[in-house]
Amino acid sequence: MPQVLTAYGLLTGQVLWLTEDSAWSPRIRDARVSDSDADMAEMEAAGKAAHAAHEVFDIYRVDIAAEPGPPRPIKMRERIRALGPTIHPGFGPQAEEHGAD
Amino acid sequence: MYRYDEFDHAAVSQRVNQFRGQVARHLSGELSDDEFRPLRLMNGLYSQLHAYMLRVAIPYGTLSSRQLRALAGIARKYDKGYAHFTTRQNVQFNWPTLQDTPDILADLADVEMHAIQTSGNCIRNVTADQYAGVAVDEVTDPRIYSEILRQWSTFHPEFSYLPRKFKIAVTASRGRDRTAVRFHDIGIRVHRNNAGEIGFEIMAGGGLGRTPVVAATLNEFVPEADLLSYCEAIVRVYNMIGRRDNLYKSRIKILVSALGAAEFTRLVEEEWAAIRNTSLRLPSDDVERIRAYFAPPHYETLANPPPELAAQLEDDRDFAAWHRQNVARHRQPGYAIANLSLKPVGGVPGDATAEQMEAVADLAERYSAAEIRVTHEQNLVLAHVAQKDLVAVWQGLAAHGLASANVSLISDVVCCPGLDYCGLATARSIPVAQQISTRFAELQKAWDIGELRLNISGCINACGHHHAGHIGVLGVDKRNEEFYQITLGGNGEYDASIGEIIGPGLPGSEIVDAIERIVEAYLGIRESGERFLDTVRRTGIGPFKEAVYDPPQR
Repeated sequence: MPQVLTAYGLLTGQVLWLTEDSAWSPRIRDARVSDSDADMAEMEAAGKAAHAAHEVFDIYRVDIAAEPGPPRPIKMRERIRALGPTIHPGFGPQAEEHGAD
Repeated sequence: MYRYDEFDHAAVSQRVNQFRGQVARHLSGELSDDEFRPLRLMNGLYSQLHAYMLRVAIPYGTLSSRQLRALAGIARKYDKGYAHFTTRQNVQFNWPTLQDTPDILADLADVEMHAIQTSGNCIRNVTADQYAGVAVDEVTDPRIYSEILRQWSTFHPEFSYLPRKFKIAVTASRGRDRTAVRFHDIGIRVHRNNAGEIGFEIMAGGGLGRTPVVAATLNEFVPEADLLSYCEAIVRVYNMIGRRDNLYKSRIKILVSALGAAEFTRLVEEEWAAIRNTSLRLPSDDVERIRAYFAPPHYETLANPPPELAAQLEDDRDFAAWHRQNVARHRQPGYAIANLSLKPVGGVPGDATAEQMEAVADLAERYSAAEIRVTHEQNLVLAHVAQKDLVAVWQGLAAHGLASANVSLISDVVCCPGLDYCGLATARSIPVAQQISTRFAELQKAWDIGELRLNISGCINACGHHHAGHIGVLGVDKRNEEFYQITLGGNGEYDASIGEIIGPGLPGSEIVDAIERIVEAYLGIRESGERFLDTVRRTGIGPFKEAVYDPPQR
């Protein structure tokens, strides 16, 4: 199952996703998608390094749907984390799509 | 209200500086995640689904207008312009950053506020009746004892690492309990005996969560002077023999249930006998000193009711509706208690914007002794409004969306943050509350239904107190879909009861219809004068179960 790696920014507490170039983005569409153990091992190494550098905490893998397009988490919890509270379209990453924050 | 003394001031500012240093050391890597986590929690800073969350203590739910204004300022400066009032009379900010938190705590300290005892396995912020000092049915102001317990419990060295968190509530009402006293680790009910002396019925081992328990009474009348020694004995016994091996069995309710209330009481009273006449004995001078902090504000001699009120009620139906539902009797003739609903139709229960908080602070300054109360039902109270000023207060509230006339009706939903914010939640709760308040928005209909407490929790931890709701709703995750389980017959008052599950959970798309069918069933079978809870108690869940799972074909 394809997966992405997520964490929280230490300073901001913001939900972050590991990107292709081993940086962290608040937008899940920037996330690097792993489809192999080797891929994930590389990603987790990048996560560990970021943790050691005091950039992020609570790092874990998130399962995403095997479908084309931007990564979509399987679990509702992770979908809400990726977008923001469903009751406040203006808060969180979803705000960009709604044009407000 | 209580004002900090020099020790309080020194302790809180010292704590802010400590935390500033701890944050700096964490960011530099000197303190690891594991080392920093308990330190941030001791300062009320949680990590939630989207961000950090800062929980700020509001001791016994009483705020000055200056403090409420400061909360509004924090919401605007450091957060997204709003705050959330909780089921324990506290307030939460959902979007603070770690780097701003020491500054937020410093801003709070400027107005004698802090986040101490809002997290961790300590004695948490002590709650009290929101009508304290103004209720017509109270023995004395319960906040006197809440404040004494606060002073005793804050930084109590022996109780800084209990098996689990520990919650205390104090009520002094003779009539109805407004604190859910029987669902607390220690519940305290103030009594006065025939000799005119104050004493306390002490209950212990109540709680909600995954194992709901109604507290047992350990002692019917503990004399005033023994309040602290009795509480110390309870917490000491719990601290010594409460379970630490299993998170789910570590609350005092599990210990009291396992030993039985009689045996637990025996252990407590044995301990109490040993410490009763030590420095824990409460000198009456000290009680009087604290009592003076809670002296009532200056009341004028006013007509009761004022002559113009009848015409005002006649002239404006909306004012009349608000007056009927949200205004309660005050002990002082000519005055009233005004309840401010934070449950507008379709709104988020307990949320208030910075502008709303400032508007309430303004109204409190002009009309209510510059003081505000927070209720465990996530509403606010102006406790000292002259009845002649009620129209002006109502107009001020209405201008800011704070005049919903629904206190204690079905749309006054108590609701935890649920999966929209909380990392522990298994389902969303706020959208369900929004749908319910929208479905039952029509006041005539809600009045016909009458008093109905509806509580929603987004997981088994029960922060929305669903077990105590006349109708309780618990959100669960079933194969990655939100399902909602209904309980009926819960009640948080002196005659506390735990709601009974009526059957299998329902998908999110069906829950509001199901609640409407339950309400229709009640309207069909109620007897004269029966509240929803009375009917459920009389009939049991049978008729309601049928209405939900086997409705008659129309």
